[in-house]
Amino acid sequence: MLINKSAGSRTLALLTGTVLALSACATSNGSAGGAVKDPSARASTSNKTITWAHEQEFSAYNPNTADGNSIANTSALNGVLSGFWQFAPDGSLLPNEDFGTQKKISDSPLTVKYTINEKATWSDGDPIDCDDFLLAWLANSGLTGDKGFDTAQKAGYQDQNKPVCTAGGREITVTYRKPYGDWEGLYGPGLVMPAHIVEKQAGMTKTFVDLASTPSSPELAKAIAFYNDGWDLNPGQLKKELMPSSGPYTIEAWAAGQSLTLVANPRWWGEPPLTAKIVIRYIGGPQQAQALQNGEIQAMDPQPQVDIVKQLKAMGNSIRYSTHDQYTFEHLDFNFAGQFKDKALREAFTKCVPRQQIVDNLVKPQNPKAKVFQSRFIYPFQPAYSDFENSVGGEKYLTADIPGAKQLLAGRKPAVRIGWRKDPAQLNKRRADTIALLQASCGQAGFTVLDSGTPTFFDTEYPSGNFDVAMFAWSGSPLLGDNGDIYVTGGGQNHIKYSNPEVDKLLGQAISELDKGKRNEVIKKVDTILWTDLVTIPLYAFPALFASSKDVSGLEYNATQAELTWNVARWARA
Amino acid sequence: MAVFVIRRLLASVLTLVVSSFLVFVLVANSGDPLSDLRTDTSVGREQKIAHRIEVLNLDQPVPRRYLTWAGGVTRCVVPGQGCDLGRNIRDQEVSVLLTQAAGSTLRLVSAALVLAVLLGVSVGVISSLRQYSGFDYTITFAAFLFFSLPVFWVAVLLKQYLAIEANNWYQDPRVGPFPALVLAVLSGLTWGAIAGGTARRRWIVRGASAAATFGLLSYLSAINWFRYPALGPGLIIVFSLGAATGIAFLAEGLRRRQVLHSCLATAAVGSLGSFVVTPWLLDPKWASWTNLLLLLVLSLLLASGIGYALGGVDKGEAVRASLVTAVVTGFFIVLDIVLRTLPGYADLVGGRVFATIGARTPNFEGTFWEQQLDTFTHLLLPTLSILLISFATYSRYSRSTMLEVMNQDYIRTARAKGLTERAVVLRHAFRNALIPVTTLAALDFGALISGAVITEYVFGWQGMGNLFFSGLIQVDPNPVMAFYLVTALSVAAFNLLADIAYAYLDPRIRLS
Repeated sequence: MLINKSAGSRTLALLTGTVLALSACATSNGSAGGAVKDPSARASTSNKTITWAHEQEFSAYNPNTADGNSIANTSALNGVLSGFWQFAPDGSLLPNEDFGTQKKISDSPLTVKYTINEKATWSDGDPIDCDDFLLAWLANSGLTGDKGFDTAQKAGYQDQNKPVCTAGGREITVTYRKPYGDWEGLYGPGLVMPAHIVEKQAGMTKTFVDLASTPSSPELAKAIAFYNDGWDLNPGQLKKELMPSSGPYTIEAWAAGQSLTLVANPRWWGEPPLTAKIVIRYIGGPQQAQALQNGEIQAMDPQPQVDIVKQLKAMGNSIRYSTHDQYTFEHLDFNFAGQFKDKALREAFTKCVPRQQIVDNLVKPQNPKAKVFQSRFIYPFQPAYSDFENSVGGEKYLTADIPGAKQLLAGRKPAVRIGWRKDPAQLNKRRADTIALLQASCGQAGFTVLDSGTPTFFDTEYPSGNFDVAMFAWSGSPLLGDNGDIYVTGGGQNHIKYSNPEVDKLLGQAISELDKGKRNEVIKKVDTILWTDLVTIPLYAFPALFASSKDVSGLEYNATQAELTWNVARWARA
Repeated sequence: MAVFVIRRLLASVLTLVVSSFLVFVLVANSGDPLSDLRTDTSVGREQKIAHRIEVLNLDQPVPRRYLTWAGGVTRCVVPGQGCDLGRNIRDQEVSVLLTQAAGSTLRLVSAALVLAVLLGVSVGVISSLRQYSGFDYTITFAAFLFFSLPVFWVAVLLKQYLAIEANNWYQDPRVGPFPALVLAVLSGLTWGAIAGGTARRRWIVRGASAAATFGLLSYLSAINWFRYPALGPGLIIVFSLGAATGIAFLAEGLRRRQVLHSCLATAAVGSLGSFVVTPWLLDPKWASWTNLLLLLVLSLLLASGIGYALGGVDKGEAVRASLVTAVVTGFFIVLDIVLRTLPGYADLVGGRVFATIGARTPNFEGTFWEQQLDTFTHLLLPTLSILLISFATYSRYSRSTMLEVMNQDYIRTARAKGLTERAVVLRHAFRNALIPVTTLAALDFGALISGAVITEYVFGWQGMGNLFFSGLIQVDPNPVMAFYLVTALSVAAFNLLADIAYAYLDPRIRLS
């Protein structure tokens, strides 16, 4: 199974980011942070070009729709559509005061006051105000129903009452019907779209200020149609007049299949970007290293392969490269509806899984810094991880304990079917190798490990529970989701049929807990229970790779779906 | 003829319908188009799945989805309806994707195909005439070597040595004495092998060509020619006159003085004309494809005039040979201009002239010639990598058919009549040997479009191969069907063309 990074949800990533990161408020520690005022960066825009290689091509200006919500679009639009905050590399949030500020003014009911920067205008001259904010809320609130706005993320927005603001006003007050701990992570980059364009294209006689309270109004039907499809683009065919910018860059040119060009937005009111032109070139991962060596690109972050790492190493001093952890982790899940409802059997299997060996053999060649992954919620690059790493229970199962497993099995010789998505056309070699290591190690303990991988694993075997242990990856954080929960009894994604009332209660608490420190403690309790119950075995975070030429600065790998372009305005080339 | 063509067309349409259904069903059943969304933890998952089901009509049975697609395609045939090739998994119009992909692949494939046929056939013919010589063995060895090389590996090597290293060299382009010596020895061996004849003659050729190569490289380095390359009027004249002699020899032999004279006259007029034409062509306001085409037509008219005037009793032959000479002379003039453009172009791309990736430099702005050079530097490596492999096939084919033909009775008869060796080889043998090569070239065009999948991927060209590959991986039938339409149609069309070409090449074949 190939995990698509785009699958990571904003909301989910946020929970770990905003709420759990102990230093979530540490906005000033990012040296290259979007809103950080660095006096030395006051320099004006240089006339240079920086080219970044990316594998997936841009396809839509609206990153909110089901179609448009892909990493290809969000990464291109980071510098074009601003929001009230931006993801930092460690998953925490950096406020973007160029765009506006958000402030909680009441806990009960949860009330947040948003203030859009008074200088903020779309690059076509229209001010950014109440109208745009109301469109963002209405589109994501889910109020227009199945035939309505086709947005991909509704959590949080659907708990909000209609935001209060006046036409042309830049102060908006939002009250919640129920507490939502993740309130800080709403209205981020790409959320606020130009309402005046929608109104004009849909031929509306009223504005969203008038219509937001009547979501069923027929006047909205055309607006919905435009919002959902009007910003989808055929390759190379920009609709510039429909795509104004609210960020430091505007989209200038698109050569189909080749490149997308961003240039500095002449109407940008904030700190000027350091580089006048940013080119995103569409190049397959294995081809990027030679392009970097030949000076055709200046930065790359492909899916890591051992060969690419070797190539980069061989280039020596002419480039810089580094390896990282991705926001995606691999794990083994026990099926509680089968033989593994027996805790002793789960423990025996957990003991024979050679986690350290899997990381050493299969992940370290691509990321020498990789460690065995211990949490299900917090990633190694997040400050809070050190609090989880050696205290939630996973530290007991680092290396295989064959005698211990044998003892628990007490002479039983169970067969274990490992289910995973094994597609011969796109064979995930790391998973095939993991199976081999499991067979060798658990075979000694007395298990017969069967490779039950199928191309149809997620369509049939996994939902119907036809496996003993499932092996796959979750991207982003697996904690929350309005479409069901992985560890909650009866949750939509709980195909392993795990049930623990304590976990259900704690997760419910975590979602509505507004205090970050407290929420962190709750999550830690959940993680600990999941280790005690031996529900899933986290293995490793996916490795990531970043390389750049020596003459560029300001680029910093970002594990979230914000991608490398999160701070594009601070990229500089010597 | 017309009856034959119509019959063939009807049969092709039937084949297309049946095979398109098969391809559609196979692709639609090749996997799960929703697989990437199933492990999506994001909150909008259900929405995304519902949307994709709607875009790809996944709630309908496969045959019905096929009919929807076929309905859209038939509208392409009906005038005024506008093509509808469906939408892809990202909800983009496939017809737009196809237009772009086909354009990029055609550019990539056509140059490689033409060059592979020209080079492969001429090398194959020469090696058959020098059967079991050193040249023949070397070409045989090289052909099998190239044929067995995987494209992606060749691509990596080409990028390393012909782009990255070549660009490093271009920072201060000189050929030192030792590399020049190595190249001189290589050149001596090659020419000696081609020359044939007695041992003494071969040694003379080897020595002369090695010395010439060494001298030339050292001289060019000394005057920094590689940094500021150009042919200049002198070399244009020398090259054109040389080419004219060669063309006259191949066409009619040097004894037919009228043909030789008209070729030489054409070359002389053309290369002297470069004094007028080159400044025009270097003028950014003047240079364009239309004007180039106009110049070509003009020079062809001039050449046929010269051929007609000087041709004497061989007017037809003289005109034909002059036309070819005019084209070759024009090529040298253009080459000179392109070489002169190189230093300016190098400055625009930061000194790194040869590209490893992509179809053009993003946002490249330059004069007409700089634009052409940019396209050329991006086409060079992918074309070479396709060329190497196709070249192997063509040289092997033409060598073996040529050998077969040369052993036929009518060749012996032709020799017995007292015809020159040139006439026997080019007039009697070569033309017949071309028939199997025609079949090969026709099939190869379709095969190259589909075979360029890997080449396109490794060189970052978003062409037909990408359309096919990404469609198949994502279980998205519409782009795959668009790819299928183009390849199937081109195979059908080129087969038809090949059949017509047989009739032209071989008088025994009648189409009706």
